[in-house]
Amino acid sequence: MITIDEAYVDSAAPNADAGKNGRGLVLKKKLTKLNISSDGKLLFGECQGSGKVPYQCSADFAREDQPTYRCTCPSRQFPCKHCLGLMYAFAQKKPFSTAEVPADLQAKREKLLDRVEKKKEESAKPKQVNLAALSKKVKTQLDGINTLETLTHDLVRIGIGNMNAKLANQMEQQAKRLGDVYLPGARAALYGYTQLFSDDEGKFAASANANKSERIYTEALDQLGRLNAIIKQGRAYLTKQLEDPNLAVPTDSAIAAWLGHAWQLSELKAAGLVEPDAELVQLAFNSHFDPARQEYIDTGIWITLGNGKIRVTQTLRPIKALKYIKSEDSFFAVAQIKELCVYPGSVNPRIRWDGMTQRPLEAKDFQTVRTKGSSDFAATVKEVKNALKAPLADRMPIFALNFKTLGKVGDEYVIEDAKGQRLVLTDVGMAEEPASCGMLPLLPKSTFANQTMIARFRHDLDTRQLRVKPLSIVTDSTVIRLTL
Amino acid sequence: MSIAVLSQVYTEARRLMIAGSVVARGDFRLKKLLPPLEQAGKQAPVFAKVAETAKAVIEGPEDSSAASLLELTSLVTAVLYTQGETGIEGKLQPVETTNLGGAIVQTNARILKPLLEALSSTGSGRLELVKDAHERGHFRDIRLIKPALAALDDPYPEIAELIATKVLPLYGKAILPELRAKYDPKGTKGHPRRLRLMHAIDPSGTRELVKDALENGSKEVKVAAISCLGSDASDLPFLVEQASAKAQDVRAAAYQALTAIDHPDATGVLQKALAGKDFAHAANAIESSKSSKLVDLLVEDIRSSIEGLAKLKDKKQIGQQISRLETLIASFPKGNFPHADKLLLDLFSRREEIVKIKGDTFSGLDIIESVIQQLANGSEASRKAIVAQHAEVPADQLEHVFDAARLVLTPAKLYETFSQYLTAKVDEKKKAKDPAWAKREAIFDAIESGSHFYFWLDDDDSRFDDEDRPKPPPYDPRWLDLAIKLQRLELVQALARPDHKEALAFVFSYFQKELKTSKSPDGLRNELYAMFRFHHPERANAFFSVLNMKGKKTPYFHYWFVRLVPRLPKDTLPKLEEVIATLPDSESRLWLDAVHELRSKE
Repeated sequence: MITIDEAYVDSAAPNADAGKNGRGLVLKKKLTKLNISSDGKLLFGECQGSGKVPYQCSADFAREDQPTYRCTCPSRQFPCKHCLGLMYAFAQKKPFSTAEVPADLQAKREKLLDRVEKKKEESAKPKQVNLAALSKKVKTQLDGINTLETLTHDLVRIGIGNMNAKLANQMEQQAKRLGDVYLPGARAALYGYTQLFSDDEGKFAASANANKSERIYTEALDQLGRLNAIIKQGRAYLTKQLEDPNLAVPTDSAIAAWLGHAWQLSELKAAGLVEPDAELVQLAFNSHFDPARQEYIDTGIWITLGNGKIRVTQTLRPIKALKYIKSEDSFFAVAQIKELCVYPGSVNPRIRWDGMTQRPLEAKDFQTVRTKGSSDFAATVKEVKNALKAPLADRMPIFALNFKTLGKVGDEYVIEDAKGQRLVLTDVGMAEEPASCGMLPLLPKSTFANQTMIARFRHDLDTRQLRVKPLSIVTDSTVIRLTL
Repeated sequence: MSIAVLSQVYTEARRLMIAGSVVARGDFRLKKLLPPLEQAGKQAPVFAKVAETAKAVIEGPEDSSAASLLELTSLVTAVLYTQGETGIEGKLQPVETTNLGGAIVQTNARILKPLLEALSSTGSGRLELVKDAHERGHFRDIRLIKPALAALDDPYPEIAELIATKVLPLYGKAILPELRAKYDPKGTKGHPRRLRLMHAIDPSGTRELVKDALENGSKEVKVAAISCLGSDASDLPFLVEQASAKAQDVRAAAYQALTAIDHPDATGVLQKALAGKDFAHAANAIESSKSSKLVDLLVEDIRSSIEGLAKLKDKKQIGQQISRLETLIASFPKGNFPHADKLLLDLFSRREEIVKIKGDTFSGLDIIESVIQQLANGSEASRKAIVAQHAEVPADQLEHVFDAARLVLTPAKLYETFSQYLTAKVDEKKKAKDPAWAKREAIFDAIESGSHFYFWLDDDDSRFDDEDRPKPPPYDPRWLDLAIKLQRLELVQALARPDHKEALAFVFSYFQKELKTSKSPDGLRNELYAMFRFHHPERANAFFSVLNMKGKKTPYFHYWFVRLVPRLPKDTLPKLEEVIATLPDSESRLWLDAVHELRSKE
């Protein structure tokens, strides 16, 4: 039996407008047929559109954690407003009559089940790979690495101080071909450098602001270091792949993603990068616009209740496709996931999943999160430093820290663990999430002792200081989110 | 481990990366670091590796200089990443917190993001969003503090003022550092607001900033700074000086500040200002000060000016003086000021003499009207006094007196005193020319406007928010009987009580009568609202019959009609949906939220 309410449909909608349009269809009685299958797992009906023939829409809950939405409308939003309308009608307890599932829909359902079965079987057996084609691709990528090397060395020869918007623009034009040789990630890394010389909107204005350059030298240096690492590690990785008789993608480091490999869930599963029956709690969520990439990036920071690992989800929504990609939202329940896929990577790798169910957060969950935090700052700092020295490491890793006291030394906010080890809090250099230190004096007094802070570490190359930015504070009854 | 050397290598490598690797070969500064590096390398292999890479940069071939320099930078950076300093020396002090009270609110991103957008962009429709968020308590989510602080500079002043006066004071002292950091005494727009806000949150701590603003601030900031003065007697000489400044804004702010200082010099300046061209600013300052000593200044001035009026001959001069007197009379603050009450009552008793004074555009009648309004809105004693003399009040001021009477008389006494105006014999043809007719209409207006349907629609009691205007007790039941007898629908509607059988029958018959004759739904608005206000059992049917008579071209019809939807009985939902489904798309969108509200009703 399907148990959905209006809030469920709201959250299934790709954006608030789609939800509103769906409600509108119910109100306008555009849904001319409302049916439910005899097994109670499929809602289907007809919805009058602007044409003569109504759209056939359906919401299939055969897989409860991963419903399938089908509609004959040409919309590229999933679920479209017709499917949402159908579900709103059900949630509003409109009369649904039990009917036989139309043959074509039944065929699709069966096909889907077959596909799922097949997928399962396929994932069990080794994947067929066109080795010749793959080998050609890898060789092309290796050529691309050489191009990247030439471009990078040119940049070093020119010197950061002699870069300007015009040169950066020219370099970007040349770097475009890296995308053609299957290295979009490497190209993005190069853009990461050239974009330092653009204006705030990601454009290369003729009058690039010269005074900006002084501030970006250190960042530019770091980016060039990364490019160097991508070249070296990328070359080693591709050569290793070429030497492997099956040309398999190595899964022991994040370099594949740096080059631009788009991991598929099936690949991750095949590589064993899966955790079964995971329960996740969201610790922080932020959505920001990246002008260089012209896209919104929704980032969720999650902890797995079982093993206490902190990992991230990322949804990229390019402006051009904003309508078609669901915007993510803060999540205040426990996500229950059958198969949690984890990307290769070190501290906070990316995670993804196919389907999920949810349950309310309880006091014991907060307790679990708190027990997963580190009470020994010295050990955590060591771990962070060890991770940071790798040139391709995530520069701002996230950890859960159990502090004894949160206080002030002079103007600085400081957390201290039971052994008296201290970490200084800062917002400097972590602009993707809005500043959070300024909110601390507004928190209740009880938050300043014996709580768990979810914090991002950052090493400032100019001042040589390793500091943390508070993202959230987990108490025994809530997660106080400080960023957005 | 000699980290200092490593830092030096990093600095040199950074310099070369900035200058370009073409100049790296043979670099003597880097060369100088080789011996200490090699020395350190004997103990720690990583230094030997750094030395070797640095050597490659200095001595290697030209064409591999870029690769070598990159290698060196990467290596040194990687080592430095392991050397980050943590911790801080010094005593750990507790964080001073500002208790916001209540639980911490955590709103989800889909709600907060549009609000952030509204606070940080321009365009229409934002004020409502911000107001609504403030009312719903969304600003208790501390993540909105920064955007709210930035909104002090919003180009739309109403948003910036709302943020400065209602939203930001919620956060108290916690926002002071941020306000101070952004504050620019030379700035305009948001900066005067910042100064005022800082002063409101922490007057003594802001004292120095205020003083500095007086010296160096822009004109706007200076005005704001002056308005923050007055708490200290030492401000007096400066304020006296500013009271004769060239700029009007500065003088007005100085008068405001001077009202807070109890000193003959301050009083002298205000007295002088009352007599001169700044009389309105001075009176305004006295009104907001609520100081009885200063109110006495007003009393004195008005009394002597009235006496002087008789001596004036020039009509123009008389007109100007009357206009000035009106302003001064209207500036008596709300509250208990016996001298002011005495003066007003005295002027009222001399009304026959005063109305005879004629100026070019104003006359003595204008003074008396101001006097009546002040008495009706004044202290309890003054209200009682003017209510007692209601029979003497001209028709166009009677409404004010009736409103005052609602507050000082019992409901029964109110009915007994004022219902006579509704039952009086009037000449319907002469209309306003007949004083009895005009007085009857004044009472009708007073009752009808006080409980107009738009207050009822919005459940809006905000007109009673002001403590000077308390909420009056309900009307005596006899008013409704009288309204039905008079067959006056608006009056019946304003006095609505659901359990009144005659009234129910009356509104229903009225509605049916109008339904037969009215050509468009708009003509039935009052009738339909009356049905809803009486919670009439037939109201849903009435609603649908109006909906059915809707023609094709009724563009403005929805805006009042749709608002009744949430007040329908919930069991009408299916029928409502039936009708809406037949509406064109452009119209049915307007119904969406209203129907959703009805559906979500408990």
